[in-house]
Amino acid sequence: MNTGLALARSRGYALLGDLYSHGLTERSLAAWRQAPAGVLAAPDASVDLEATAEAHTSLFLIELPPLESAFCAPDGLLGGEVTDAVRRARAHAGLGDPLDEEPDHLGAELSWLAFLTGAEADARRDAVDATRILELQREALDQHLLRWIPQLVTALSGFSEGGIGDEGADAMYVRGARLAQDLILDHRLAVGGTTPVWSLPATVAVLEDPRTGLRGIAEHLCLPCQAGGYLTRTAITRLSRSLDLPMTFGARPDLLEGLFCAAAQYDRIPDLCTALDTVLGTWDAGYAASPASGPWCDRVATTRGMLDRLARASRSGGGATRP
Amino acid sequence: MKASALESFLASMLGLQRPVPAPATGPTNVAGEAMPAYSVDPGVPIPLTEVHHPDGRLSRYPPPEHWADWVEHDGARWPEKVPRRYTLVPTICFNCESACGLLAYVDKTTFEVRKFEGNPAHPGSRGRNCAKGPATHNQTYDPERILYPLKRVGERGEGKWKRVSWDEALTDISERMRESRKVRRTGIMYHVGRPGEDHYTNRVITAWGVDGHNSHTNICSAASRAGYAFWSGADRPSPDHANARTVLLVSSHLETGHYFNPHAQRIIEAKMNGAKIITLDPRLSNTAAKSDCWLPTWPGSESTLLLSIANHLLRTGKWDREFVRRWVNWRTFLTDGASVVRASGLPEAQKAAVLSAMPGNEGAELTFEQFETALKALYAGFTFELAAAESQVDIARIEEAARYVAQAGNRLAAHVWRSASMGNRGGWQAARCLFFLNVLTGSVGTEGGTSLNTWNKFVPKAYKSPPAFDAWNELHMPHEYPLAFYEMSFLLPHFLDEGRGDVDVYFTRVYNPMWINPDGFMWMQALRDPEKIKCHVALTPTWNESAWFADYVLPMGHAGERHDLMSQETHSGMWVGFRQPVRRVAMERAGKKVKYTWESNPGEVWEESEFWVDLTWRMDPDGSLGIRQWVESLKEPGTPVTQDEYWAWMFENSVPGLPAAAKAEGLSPLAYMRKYGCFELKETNYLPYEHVVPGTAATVSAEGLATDAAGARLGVLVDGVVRAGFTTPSGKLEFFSPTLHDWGWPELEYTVPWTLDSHVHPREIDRAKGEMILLPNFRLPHLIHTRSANAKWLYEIGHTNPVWIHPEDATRLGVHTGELLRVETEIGWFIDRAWVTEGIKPGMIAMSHHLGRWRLQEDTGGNKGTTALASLDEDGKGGHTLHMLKGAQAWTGPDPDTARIWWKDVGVHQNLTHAVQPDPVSGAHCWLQKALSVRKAVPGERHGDVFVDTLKSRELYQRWLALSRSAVDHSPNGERRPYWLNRPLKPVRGAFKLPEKPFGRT
Repeated sequence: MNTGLALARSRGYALLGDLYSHGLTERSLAAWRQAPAGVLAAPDASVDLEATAEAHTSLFLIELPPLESAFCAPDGLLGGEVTDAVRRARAHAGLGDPLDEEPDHLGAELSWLAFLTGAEADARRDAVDATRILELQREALDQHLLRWIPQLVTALSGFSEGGIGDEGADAMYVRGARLAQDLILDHRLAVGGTTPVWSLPATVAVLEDPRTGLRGIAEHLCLPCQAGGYLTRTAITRLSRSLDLPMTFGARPDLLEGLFCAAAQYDRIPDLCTALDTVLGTWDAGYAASPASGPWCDRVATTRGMLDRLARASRSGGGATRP
Repeated sequence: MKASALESFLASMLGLQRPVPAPATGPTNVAGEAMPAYSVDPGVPIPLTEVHHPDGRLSRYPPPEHWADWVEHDGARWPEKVPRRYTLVPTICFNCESACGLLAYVDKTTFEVRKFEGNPAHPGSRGRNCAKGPATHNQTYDPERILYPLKRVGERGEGKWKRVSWDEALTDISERMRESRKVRRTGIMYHVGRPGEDHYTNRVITAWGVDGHNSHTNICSAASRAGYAFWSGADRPSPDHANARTVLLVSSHLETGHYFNPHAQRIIEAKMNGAKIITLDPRLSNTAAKSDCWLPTWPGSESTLLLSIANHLLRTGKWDREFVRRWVNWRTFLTDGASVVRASGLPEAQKAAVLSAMPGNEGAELTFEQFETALKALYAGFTFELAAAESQVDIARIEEAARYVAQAGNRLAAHVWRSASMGNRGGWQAARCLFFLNVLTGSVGTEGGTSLNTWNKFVPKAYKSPPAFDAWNELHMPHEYPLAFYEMSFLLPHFLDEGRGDVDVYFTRVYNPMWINPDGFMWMQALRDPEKIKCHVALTPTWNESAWFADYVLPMGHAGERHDLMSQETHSGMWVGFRQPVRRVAMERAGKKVKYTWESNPGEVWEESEFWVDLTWRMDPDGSLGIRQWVESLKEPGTPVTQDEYWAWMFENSVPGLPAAAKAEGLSPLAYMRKYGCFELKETNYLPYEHVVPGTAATVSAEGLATDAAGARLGVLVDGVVRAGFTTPSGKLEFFSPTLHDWGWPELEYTVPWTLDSHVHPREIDRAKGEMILLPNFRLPHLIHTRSANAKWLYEIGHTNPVWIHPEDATRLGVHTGELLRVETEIGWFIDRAWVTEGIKPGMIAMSHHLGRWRLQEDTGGNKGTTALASLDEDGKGGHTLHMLKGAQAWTGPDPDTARIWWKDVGVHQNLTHAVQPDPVSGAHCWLQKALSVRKAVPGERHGDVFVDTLKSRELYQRWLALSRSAVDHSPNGERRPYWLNRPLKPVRGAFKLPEKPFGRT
């Protein structure tokens, strides 16, 4: 590995981190225009920065929180043990908290990698031993980024993908996330060593609990570490449209609960389960490229089994659909 | 992506510049950056400081000498003993105007705030807080708060925003301000709710050279301020509750009043020492329930009741005759009052009795005995029987209250702020009449009596002060209200609507005018109109209904996220409190450099103090407007002043006693304030008006006002000695107000403490037709309008504002608790649940207006646990409807507590249905509403729904405007307003000249 590659990674991570922390800005657009055509921006593509800023706000402040804790924490809440673990790992490398984001925010984690790869570049330039820095990079990748970036990218895949200037301002953030994932996977290969075995929080067998109603099922499916991925508001809305079932409003569990209630009312629970299974199938496919996605794939399989059981129970008039 | 594409991307990155990291000063990591500091549990328990409170309670606090490094076990990790190391940073609560002390526990590793507790060093709150203080933590970590500057992308009110940098927002806004300032001095408007600080922003606005300050005072306290100011020159009372023999409250003051926590603890101290508490309130508040004597008066009758007590004191000789002789302007009454009495509507016999005591001809000798006789005759008609009839209160209770007042001697602590004074047309007279009892008992500025705010509040000077501006904004102080306290802010939408002007840059600062003011749909129309309000900047910690219609929403900090200085007249002493950004202070204690406070706050939440400096600097980057100099550093000319420099200068040069106290601890004055968060200037400050003033009086007025040879005011001559006196034109307490007399209100009922007929006088309410009074202006102990609406902890305590209704009325309407009522006001109606209770007088309904928040989008615009999801409809003919779609709900977010929201009802927004009702003298919005009908809701009418007809709003506005007496017609000197009366920011004298083309005059 050479100094130039480490430096290139560092700048690439920094640019991507900035993209997710602050959205596309005039300053970063100039940098993106230097990247090869088709990576994110054509050199002459016209860009509506108002629209990309609005898309950043609606996508990441409202639709999909780009935080590790939202994916990996047992309760899906921010600011708990998962965030603290990132904070400790950053501090371990001598890096303080980011100024304007939680440390487990996508932008902050990419900037963390920019810091570590930048340190590597310095070490190589000065001919200093970089072993320790590579260990820290491996730790950051294995313990954190690889455990949730593929899941974030898969969730984002529900939105149209495109480059800067393409139709749909949010498309560029989807493509950027995919680029970040490619960069991380390539980086992980370069760092070497085996990816450690890890596990998600224990499965909660909601269907085994006689108190579980549709609300409990909806909450379970909206909790990424239980369902196996992040079910966005848009994905739930699409389910409703595809099945021609009425939508309610509210937080994601409210939406999904409403959808289950409507499906129950119209005897469409099996259809809803099938549609959800299709969504989970796309998750499974999306995770295939990542070496650390085993626990997520297992969790998807468990959830698909749960949906199948739910559909069968519904067809046979069982009690699993009790609201 | 194909490998080759990734390689191309990486190759292109080598062409970019790499940012240069800041050099480190301590141990570094492999990249040369500073390492974080770690610490360990010392393992030795530190004894806590025990404080025995005067009411017998005991509190324990960490000793201040250990605040810099304090260890507690992490409660969340129990039963494990996991030590957490904190630095304790004092600050000042921002949730009401009391300015209580808080102590933030900031984790020394993560710099997160673990909790807020009371600051035992704070002289006002003494370590104790109400629920709103610790809830600051809840607000700080509210997952729905605004963390970044937002700029509108779509149309106003469309709800589309983009995150922008502070630099972008500041550049755009400052350029607009600069352009406005270059062409006029009335184009920038700063509309503020409770300021929560004492001088900083006012100084900045003055530096801009514009008439730009627009306060909320006219919907809050204008009437009380007017009542006290016409008497004394100061516009607020400062009762010494703790030492009183009798506490007389015209409000639910004990549990929810102004300076709630500091006052409440002292009222209870007095009660435990044997003091009696009297409360006038038509509602059985918690205060009324704790009182020795509850007087549930019919609204508007309070003045009559208070004057019956005055009459009792005069009749029984239980008044401080000597105090009145020395300090009241009785000579002016004897000379100028005779014509007033003659023209009054007093019964002829009574009129004759009063006039017989007054000298008939100019130049006649004036004696106090004449005044005494006239005074007794003047108030002889205010009998207990009259008071009982008007107030509909048992006469025995009124007599009991009068006995308690008489027993007080000169230890009568009395207070009115909102309540009756802000409820009624003419309510300012309730404050006049209440202070009359202080005057008669001689309990003005005494131990246990009632002082004036200026004697107990201290506002230091800044390092340089801009001169007064030469401008008068008619949108703030129109010619129709020359005596208003202060700006007629709640009429702004009507002023804009009728073409009185427009606004270039409009700041709403921690303020939600559309929700809190009456007639909110008129506000919505104004806020949506870019021709009237060209740029609206909402400075707010959280979403609110008005910010939704802004062009910029700029996140400002809560109590632990900002620098401010604040002092309040909480008791007989005098102190200043220092609000601090606690995470910044903690980081700086740890040796970290922080340039801007937003770097240390969550997200990019900023503080106004730094924001104003930056904005002002950018408004005048080359100094050509003469503005920049006022925010320029003394130490480093050519650069903006920093917060450290600003406050260090002030604490070193402008707070008497602080440098010495700091030196005694080996600290700089700034370090002292950063350590303790407050400083006590005086433990007590009794009878300051009696201070003997050195100097020789060259001239002395009839009332004794003494001036020196240069014409400067010395004081007031009393029995041959020049004393400090009061800040009225006469230097005395003005029983007879020449100001009111000369500025268009010469009638007896305006010039002396008297009773004025309210707009909800029994004659105005036809109860036989089902009309009732709606009482909206009572507080809740745990919530403050918009400011606390993002605190789940506080909403858990209480979140509904049902309609209180007496069983007698409930039976008449066939309604039970929990059933829906439709309440029709003069401009619209709303639907809310009934609460049947004997705690409200028959003929009235009561409903607190501190609840009823809403938002228009599911995920933004408000906290889901404390606001309802709503939609707005218009019929194109002035009709507006607010539909409640869904109440509060639980949701998952970074704060696990949000998943535990179990309630749905978050109250009903009634203020939308209130017409504007400006008192013609004080300018106060008279909050009590005439309810044209109250009935059980019918199917289809849903809880929370509101309808308003803005055509009727305009009609009502015009009706009330017609009651005013314009300076154009009544000014005695060609000026707009008596020069001696305060304004929050007072222009130069030349700006007082009446306008050449007053609005509405051809």
